[in-house]
Amino acid sequence: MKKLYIAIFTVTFSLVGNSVWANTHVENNSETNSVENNNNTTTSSTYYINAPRFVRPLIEKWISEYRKVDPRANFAIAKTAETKGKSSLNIQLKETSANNDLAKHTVYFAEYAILPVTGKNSEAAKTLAKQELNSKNIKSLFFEKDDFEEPNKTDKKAAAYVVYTGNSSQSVSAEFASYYGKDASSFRGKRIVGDDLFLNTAIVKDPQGITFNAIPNIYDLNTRKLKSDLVLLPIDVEKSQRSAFVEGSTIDELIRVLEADRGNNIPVERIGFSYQDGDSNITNFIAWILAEGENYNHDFGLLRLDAKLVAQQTKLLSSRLTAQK
Amino acid sequence: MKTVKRIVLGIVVSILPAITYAQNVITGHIVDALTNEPLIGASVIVKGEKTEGVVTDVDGNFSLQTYHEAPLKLKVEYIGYRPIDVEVYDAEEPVDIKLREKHDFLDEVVVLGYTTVKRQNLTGAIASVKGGDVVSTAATGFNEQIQGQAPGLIISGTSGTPGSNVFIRLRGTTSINAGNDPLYVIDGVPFNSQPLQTISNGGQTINPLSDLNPNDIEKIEVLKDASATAIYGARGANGVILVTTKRGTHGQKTRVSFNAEYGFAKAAKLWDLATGPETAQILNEAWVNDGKDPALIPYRSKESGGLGTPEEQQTYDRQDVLFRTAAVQNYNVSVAGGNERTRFYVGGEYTNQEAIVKTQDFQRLSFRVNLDHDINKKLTLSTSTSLSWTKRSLSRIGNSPKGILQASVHHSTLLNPFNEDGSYARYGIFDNIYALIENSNHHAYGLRTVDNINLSWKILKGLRFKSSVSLDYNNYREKRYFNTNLADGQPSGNATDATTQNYTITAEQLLNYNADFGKIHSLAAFVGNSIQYTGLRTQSISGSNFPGNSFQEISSAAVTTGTTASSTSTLVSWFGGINYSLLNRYAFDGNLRADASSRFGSNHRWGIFPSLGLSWTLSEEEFLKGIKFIDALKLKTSIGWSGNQNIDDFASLGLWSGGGTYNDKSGLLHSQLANPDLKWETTRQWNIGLEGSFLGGRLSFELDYYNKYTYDLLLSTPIPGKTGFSSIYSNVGEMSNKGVEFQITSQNIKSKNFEWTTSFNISHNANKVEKLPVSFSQYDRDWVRLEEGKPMYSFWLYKQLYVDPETGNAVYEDVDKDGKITVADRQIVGNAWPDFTGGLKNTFKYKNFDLSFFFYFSVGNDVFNMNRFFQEHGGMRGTNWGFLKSQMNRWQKPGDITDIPKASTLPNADGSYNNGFASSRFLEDGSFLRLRNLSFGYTLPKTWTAKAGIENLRVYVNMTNLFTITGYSGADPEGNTAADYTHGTVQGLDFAIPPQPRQIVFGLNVTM
Repeated sequence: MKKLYIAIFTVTFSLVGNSVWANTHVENNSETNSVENNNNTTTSSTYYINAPRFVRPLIEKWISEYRKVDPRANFAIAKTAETKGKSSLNIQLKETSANNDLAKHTVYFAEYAILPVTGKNSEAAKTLAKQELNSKNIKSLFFEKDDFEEPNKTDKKAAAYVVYTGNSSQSVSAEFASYYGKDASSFRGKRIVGDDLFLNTAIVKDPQGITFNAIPNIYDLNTRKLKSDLVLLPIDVEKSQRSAFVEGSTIDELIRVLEADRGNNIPVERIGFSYQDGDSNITNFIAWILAEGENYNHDFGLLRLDAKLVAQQTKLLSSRLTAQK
Repeated sequence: MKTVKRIVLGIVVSILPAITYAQNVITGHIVDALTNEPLIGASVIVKGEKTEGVVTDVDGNFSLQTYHEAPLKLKVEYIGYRPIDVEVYDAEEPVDIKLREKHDFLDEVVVLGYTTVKRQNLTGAIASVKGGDVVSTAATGFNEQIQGQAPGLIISGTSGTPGSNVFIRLRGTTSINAGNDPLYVIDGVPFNSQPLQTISNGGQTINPLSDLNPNDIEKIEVLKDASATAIYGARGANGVILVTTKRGTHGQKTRVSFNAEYGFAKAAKLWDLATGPETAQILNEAWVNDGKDPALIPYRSKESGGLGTPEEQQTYDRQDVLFRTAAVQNYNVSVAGGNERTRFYVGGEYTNQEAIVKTQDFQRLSFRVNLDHDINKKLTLSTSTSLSWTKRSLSRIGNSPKGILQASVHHSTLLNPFNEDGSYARYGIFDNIYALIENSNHHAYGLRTVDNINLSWKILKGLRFKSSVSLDYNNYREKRYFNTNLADGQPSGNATDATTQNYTITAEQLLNYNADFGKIHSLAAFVGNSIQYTGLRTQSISGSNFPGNSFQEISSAAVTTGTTASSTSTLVSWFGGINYSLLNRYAFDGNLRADASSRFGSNHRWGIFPSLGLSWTLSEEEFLKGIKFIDALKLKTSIGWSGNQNIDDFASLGLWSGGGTYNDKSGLLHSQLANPDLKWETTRQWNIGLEGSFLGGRLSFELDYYNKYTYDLLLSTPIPGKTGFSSIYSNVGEMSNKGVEFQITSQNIKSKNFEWTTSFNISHNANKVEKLPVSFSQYDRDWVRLEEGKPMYSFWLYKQLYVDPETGNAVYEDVDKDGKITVADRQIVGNAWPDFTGGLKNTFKYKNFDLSFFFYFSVGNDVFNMNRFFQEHGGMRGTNWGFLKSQMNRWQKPGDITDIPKASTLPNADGSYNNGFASSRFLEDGSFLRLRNLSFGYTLPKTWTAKAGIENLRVYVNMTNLFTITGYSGADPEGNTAADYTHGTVQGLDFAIPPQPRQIVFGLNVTM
């Protein structure tokens, strides 16, 4: 009888142990399973949105607000490989030219800025504190030299830092490189596989680490200030803009300055949804974003679009909705 | 207690599957950043855990299983690309990496004889040629195909016959009576490059390197200086060419590659012959100039008893009869692949090349299997096996009056090739061209296998022992039959059947150690031993008086004779070497080899061959580190000694020969005196060089100066007649070679859609016979002279100063001022050495199109145009010999300014002859610039071919020898009629040799 108890205990422990391990494993691979679990209750007509993390809070806000307008609307953020593969809307991180697929559209809803950062107590924070980085210096710091590129003083310093850059298609790295006339493959240093949010993790761990990120990823959207473990690398900007970059300034101040004047050394790119035309549910949702949702951009660290562009896109969507009816 | 144990066991059991479950799979895709082409074989390893790693497959994909949890660190590496560190935070996300090319040529690994060394730590002079660069030129042997691609390597195609030998010299000529060809080593197997041909073919020899399928070659390394060659000891004096064939790689998806080529070859230039009327006119003129009765000139009207007036003569140009548009075809298929433990490469090829002259062609069927199998983590078994069958259809060309070239080109064009009854007409020493073509029956069959099997044991990290056995076996059979329709078949047929077998068995043991101690010290060392056994056996039977032309087997002949010969030799060697590098900045290289050869006298059987090399990578020094456009800059120097044992197997022994029949009783003849002091020809060579890479590897160069001095040259020296012999081989001569080599490669443009690269090399060699007891001539005609203080291949001729405008007589330099032109007035007036040789290659790629062209040039080499010597004879050779058109530029009347004297057959007052005198008039500048290869291809878009499962499909056209710019008046400035002369000691004699053809080949390459 004693043996039987022991056998039952062993089998039970074994099963419990495995399931605990399995749960942990899944959690490690997904930020919030709760959303996915919630999705189990959604209908088969759920529209998944594939988006990097810096824009997810805004999209989640839209989803919840839009549900008030249209309770039948069923949009959700894709967070697993499976749901990403089924996404109806994909984030487009840069302005695109027309493509061959006439049914594929991109509608922009905001702009985002990218700023170079490092860990608060890093070597880079100390050594680069007094140097305002212009375009040439930023290139030297972040990129491999082109074969025929002239050397400059920053080249020697650059070797002391480890550049971390995002590797996925949803990373802003390609746009940062493009802004400086480079290709993403020419970044120095290490690549991060995962969301750009992990770039912060990497530079905080590495005292030599430097990176850049979209501002919703580097500002705390609650306190509106820079995240406590990060510091901005000083950028050569207009005098009138400097106050927005000093320690203690808020993301709101930064957005205000950037919307007023983009500045020479700060990449600002459009962000939008790329999707297949033909589904009025999607078109309605996007039309609502342009009409209402866009008002939340600042709250979540994104710049608002030029009003003219919003009007043009709204008009276009209106004509598509008519066609879809 | 028992219960506790059971609980612990239970916990362990519960954890085990959990650990199994924890294995992550990381997938990804690695491509070239510029072209987006997948990188096959890129390694992806989990940092710090080298046991966890994979390589990308044929599509650039990988799937890595790891027990590590995210975040984990990966390193992605690929040869020639900048490595990238990756930190994986989200294991679900694919790791898609774009690698950028790294143009740091000093990081390249160079294969040496017994070790591999990073180019950064290399102290020697080594040129590399990629396999792809070999096959782009249509030729049967790779040694011909690498012409112009390695500085310091002079290669000259001696004939347009496919499969015929080439003249090849690496950093000059070091010997007179021993071999001058470099040592070839194929996958570690010493490859016998001596032709086994026994039947003379008018001065032409076959190319033994044609036994190897060039499509199987992965890479060729040309070892030039002593630091690299001394480790080959007694065989390294002429340089070493290492050939590495293709092999499968770990984790490589099985890949099938098929290549088909079909094309045509035609002579780009033939000889411009005088017509029948012109020939008659010249002969008449010679008659008159000789003071004979003008009324009785031979070509006068038939009514007056002559042969008809010049205008009545017909023209029979026999070149069109012999030369043709030849078909060229090649089919090659290979399969390569590998998994974690076994790699394989299997290749098969068939080639069939017709020569541009009828009666000649070359066929080859070859197979190769290269296998590697990891028996376990310590032991690897490797084999390299090749088997080739060749068939050559041959006929005599060159200096052979009954050969097809002389019958075609040298015949007088006014002579009808047919008699009035329609039978073949023969004139003088020439055979009839139609008869030669229709009755040619001369074939050679080669069967060769080159094999190596080796077992490699990884004893400790960096320490490896390899034991290998190899075989090079070559069986060459020649069969020639002259039937009664041929002059040589008179009166009742004549045949020869000969078989030569050559084999070399090598057993080699090698211990290698490679280690890096931090970033400060780097060490590569090896020690080894080899035993080589070589055998040669020839059997030849001849027959004559056949019952009829249908009976061709020698057993049918009424008269038969036979000869046999055999010899063997052994080479025992010990060798070792060390390459040490400090801070990747200072490198030292030392090698030592001790060889004992049975070929040498008992008093000098062992030879010691050391070498030392030093290099200094200046770009690693602080004072150059700040200069960004310099990637690498290295100064290097080396000195060493190497030997030449390429003499007859029994050269040092006293020999008795059988067959000394006397009164029908067998007897012996003393045929050679022993020389126990006979020893190696030794070459001391030092080298100093500079190599560098700039602008991110876009520009790289190498500059070398070398000085070679060969002593103890083997020469036949006179001895007192009372010995019963007139000469004995002994070590008495000396020779030097000094030269400069320069190579530059530039990547001019590289963008996503367009690439342009240029490579250029040029080299100069100055050869001099430093010490020679007695001057003597080479070749049957004493025009090529060996003389102390002069280079080899020197021409010893009468120097024609001018043609007297008043008399039309040639005026020669009277060296001894005795008023007579005699042999004493002959002098060295030039040589066949080029002042410079080199190559220029440009490669373009635009989207799916590719274009490359390769020029080869030779500047300053003299060629003795023997065709002119024989065919500007001014009537000296009578009616049967024809004239070249150039004879029409002869002096004809007072006041004519020309260098061709009047037609005449009588001697001048000073004893000289206007015509038929071997003079500088026939020595021409053989400089040329040749478009050796032009290749244009198009690769179909993968989106089209992928559906059919085709990975790559390229169609292309290769054009060879499209044009040649030269002032040389002959058909081909590279032709040499005496290629078979002792160890290639005669060069630059152009006589009745078919020129290298212009070829156009259409090809299709498919990889699946």
